[in-house]
Amino acid sequence: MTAVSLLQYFPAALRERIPDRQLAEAEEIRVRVGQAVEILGKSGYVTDAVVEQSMLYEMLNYLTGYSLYALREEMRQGFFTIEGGHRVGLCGHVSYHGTDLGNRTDVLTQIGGLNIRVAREVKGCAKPLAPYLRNGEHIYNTLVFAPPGVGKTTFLRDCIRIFSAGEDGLRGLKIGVVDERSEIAACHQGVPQNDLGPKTDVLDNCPKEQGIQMLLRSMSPEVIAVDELGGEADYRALMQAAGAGVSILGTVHAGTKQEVYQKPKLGALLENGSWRLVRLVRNEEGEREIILYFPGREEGIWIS
Amino acid sequence: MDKLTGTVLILTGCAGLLGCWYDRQKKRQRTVMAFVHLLSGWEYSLSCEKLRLSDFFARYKSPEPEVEKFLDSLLALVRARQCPTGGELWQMALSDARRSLDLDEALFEMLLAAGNAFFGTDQRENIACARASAVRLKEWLLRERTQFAQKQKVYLPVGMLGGVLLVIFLL
Repeated sequence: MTAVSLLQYFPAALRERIPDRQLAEAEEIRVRVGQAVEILGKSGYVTDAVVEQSMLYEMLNYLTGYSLYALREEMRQGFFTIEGGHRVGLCGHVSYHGTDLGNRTDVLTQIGGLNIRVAREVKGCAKPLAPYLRNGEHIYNTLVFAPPGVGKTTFLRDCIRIFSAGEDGLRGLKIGVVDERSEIAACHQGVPQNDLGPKTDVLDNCPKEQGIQMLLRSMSPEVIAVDELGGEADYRALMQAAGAGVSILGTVHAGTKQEVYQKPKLGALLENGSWRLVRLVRNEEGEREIILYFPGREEGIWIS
Repeated sequence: MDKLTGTVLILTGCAGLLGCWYDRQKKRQRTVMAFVHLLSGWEYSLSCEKLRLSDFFARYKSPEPEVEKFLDSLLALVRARQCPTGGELWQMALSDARRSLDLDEALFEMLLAAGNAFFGTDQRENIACARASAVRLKEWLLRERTQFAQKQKVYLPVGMLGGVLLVIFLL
């Protein structure tokens, strides 16, 4: 699904006010009640029409296929993913229930704004890095880190595609993907919509911890790929996978290498094994730059 | 010979009219039963699976061709993303299919209300609505079947007697 086809999710009253060209370049689309629609991309664009509450709910109906009830669980986390792997983030009134020790988000109501993060396949974006991650017939455990919006998932997707397909005469690797948020493969009825290579198996909509265990037991992967590692349970499962001789390809939110090491449990995981850390940054021109950190060298090297 | 032919034609006509009435009543009962099955299937889907509406409608097959056609049109509307709310969408599809489904005012209102089971925003409310709507339709069906049996007892002899009287008066 291209970015332009996102137009079908807009309220009927706004469809004609959004130019295709702006949508084609969009990276994020922000819709807030009482404000104009904002399209963020190479060049920003703001519509002249203001969004009303009814329009936002109309849009939610289109985005969920009139099935808001089916996405309650996802909405508790504040986002859900639509066909094509585009992520829809939500803001509104959050209700809690829980104990003195900790509250649990119960339901998100009175939704006042949403943000569509447009997913893109950029084939070849990870190609300059691929030779550095190769370890003979296998690959090193690799963690890609960057702040939100730089393109970690896009980068991970391309890494999976490259290693699954094989390159420079090297054979393709069996890769298991745990796609908790359906962003990597963008599965539709179980079939990946994005190109992840010929030797990739995808567990869609599955929590990372369970998914890693399931893949280890059932699919004998050589590489396990996961997006947005965060919880301690994720790191525990990764440690187990790494101990089973499986290489890890993962991403994590962090601005610097120090931030990565400061994450609870992750620092300990990185101490064991020969990890490669890949930092993605956007330069002043908006281009993505790749910095590789490897054991034995404190500073990173610039790959592209 | 002419009188005999006329008698046969009149009696056949009466039997035909009774047959039409019978078929129509039966078809309507089957249609309502198909909606009860649809609501039950939906209730199961809501309780045990987490299907989106379009996936459910695409998977669900009704044995009644008219209901199946209605579900196809509903699915097309869901995919077209033209109706701002699910309620409007359900009403539009039901109004279009009202004639082919042969719905009277009461039945139409009942099925209109059943739309909340599909397009409400809360899963538990949707389940409750699907259950309540199925019960309401089953009650209607029970009432209709009882009345149908009573009417059948009256219409059949009266119809044939009317035919005989017509034969006597006309021939």
